[in-house]
Amino acid sequence: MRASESTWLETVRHDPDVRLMLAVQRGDAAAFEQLVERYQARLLLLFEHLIGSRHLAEDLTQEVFLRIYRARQQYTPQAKFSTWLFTIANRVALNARRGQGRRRETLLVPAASGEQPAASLSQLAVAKSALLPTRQLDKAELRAVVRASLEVLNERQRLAVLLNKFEGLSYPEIATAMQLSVPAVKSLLNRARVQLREVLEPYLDAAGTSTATPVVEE
Amino acid sequence: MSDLVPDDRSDPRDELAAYLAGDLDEPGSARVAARLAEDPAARRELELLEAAWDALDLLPAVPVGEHFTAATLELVALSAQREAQELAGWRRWLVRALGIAGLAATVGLGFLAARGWSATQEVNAADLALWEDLDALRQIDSVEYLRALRAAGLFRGPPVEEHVDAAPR
Repeated sequence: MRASESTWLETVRHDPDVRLMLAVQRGDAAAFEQLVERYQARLLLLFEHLIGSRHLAEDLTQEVFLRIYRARQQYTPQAKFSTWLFTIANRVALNARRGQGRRRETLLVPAASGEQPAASLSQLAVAKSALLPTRQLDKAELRAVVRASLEVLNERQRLAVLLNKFEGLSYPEIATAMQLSVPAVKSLLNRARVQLREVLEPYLDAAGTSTATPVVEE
Repeated sequence: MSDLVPDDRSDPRDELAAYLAGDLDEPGSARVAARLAEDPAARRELELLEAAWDALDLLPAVPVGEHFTAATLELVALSAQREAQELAGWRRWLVRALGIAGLAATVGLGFLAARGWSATQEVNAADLALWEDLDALRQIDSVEYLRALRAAGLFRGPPVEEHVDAAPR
């Protein structure tokens, strides 16, 4: 058995999403719906933090699914399905950024209606310094700070962080999705960790932990 | 400085970040571990790096709108429908094109066949008189004598010159 055939078999055997995609290739609409339900929230999170617009994030998420559907006949499982999906997502994001001509700013993104208005990290820092030292940021403020800290990273760092932290992709998988070498991905992530540490240090308490406990979203 | 390649002047915290991510080889890990054991500032730095990374867990999940899934599936279904229509249109065009080509080929072949048959008929007509007299003509072994007989009008059919013109090309 050739190496490519054994890779194909291993991929199909171990990845249920690959099996779903092969079913889509055979015309199974229900399989495609399952893939949409499994990945839509993850893509929305990725695009919202990459691009900075909820509306555009929804458009880009749909664009990814459209491309996956259109490519179904040519699909050959060479890697995990998620690696292929995020490779497409990266290309969609790159195209969107070129179209936007987006300026890099350290502004918070306006969230969905009813949430905190946009604020800059510097404004939050001034607000914090004006408060009593023992005053901790509430959860919403801290989330806003963390969200703003991501905006400080460049697009490649941000994507590498999101894929590593939230999608659990390995360095080789991120390298495939971003069309970079593995050492380049390691370098991106290390630089991102250092920058996040610099930005968030004022909001981390003396013990070196954040000033709010993580929130479990339902 | 590019963020894609390590730099000789890279931040010393980069090594701590790599150690935290488990990216260092054995000698590198041992070196950092030794440094951490002796240097409280390095330990503090490591704690901050870890805390900043963990703080990302505070990012809220992005809720999916109630109708988003249905809207996505509808979009894909519309695209599939357009794809099918384009394919059907292309097939109709291909069938039409093949039909026209087939008709043209049929007409062309028919024309060529008819022309060949007609030429064959002309040859046959020219040779008929010759075939009818062939047995008698075989008795004569002189071409000049045959020409003399022809000149005397003893042969049926057109003159020799006309036979030559009717010969198949």
